[in-house]
Amino acid sequence: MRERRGSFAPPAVGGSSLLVIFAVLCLTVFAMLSLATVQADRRTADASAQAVADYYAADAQAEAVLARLRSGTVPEGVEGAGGDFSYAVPISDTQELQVEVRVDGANYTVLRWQAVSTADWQPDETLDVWDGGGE
Amino acid sequence: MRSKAPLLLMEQLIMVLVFALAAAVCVQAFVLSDRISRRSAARDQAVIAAESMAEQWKACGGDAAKAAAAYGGSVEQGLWTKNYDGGEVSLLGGTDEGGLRTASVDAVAAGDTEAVYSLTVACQAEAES
Repeated sequence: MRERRGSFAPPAVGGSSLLVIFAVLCLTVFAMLSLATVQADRRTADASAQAVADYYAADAQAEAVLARLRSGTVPEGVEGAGGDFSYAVPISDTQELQVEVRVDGANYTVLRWQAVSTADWQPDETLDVWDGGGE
Repeated sequence: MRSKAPLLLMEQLIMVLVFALAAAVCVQAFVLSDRISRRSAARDQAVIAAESMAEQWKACGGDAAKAAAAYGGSVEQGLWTKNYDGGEVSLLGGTDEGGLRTASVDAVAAGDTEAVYSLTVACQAEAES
């Protein structure tokens, strides 16, 4: 026992520094990662909330146009005659609300009330995929 | 040979201080992340609740009492109120103007006093033929 106690060597100078540096680095990396993730989540939530608000703003505008059609006025931008009318209200830069209605006096029937993408779609044709035809 | 014990003690003391400082900063970053995350989640829920209430109101032709009878909640003085998982959503019907009926939907998260999310919704004053 005495021999053992006598052979005890204190930890080398710098050992605790290395440990603390490692721990601090880990903490910093995890903190930055959590902040980055949360910021990305917040951006997604913002975009989602904005999309819903934009849709309902366009929807209210389309309802206002329909109300004017029912009162006998044909607002600018509305096409059609003989009771069938169609018009579009922009939702965002890449979407619009397309509406087709049949108006008979104050009565009306909605034939189409659809959010449609107006952005150009560019298909990726770099992959040689099966086109549905034979060999 | 001089003992290294004082040097070791000094180093450990400094490292404990450095660690405490770094940990305090990092814990603050974690707390901030948690707060932002909770706020985003609350707003996500509020958006869903407000959208749902708006659609229910539109489906009932802009009649809050009818919508409350069909989908739950209570109506008092034209204010339709309903609870959702993260708070309360309410719809206040506006006036009919030019054949158009409008309403505003506000979702308030539990523990908050201000609306987390608001929507303005419109429908025809009379039901579809």
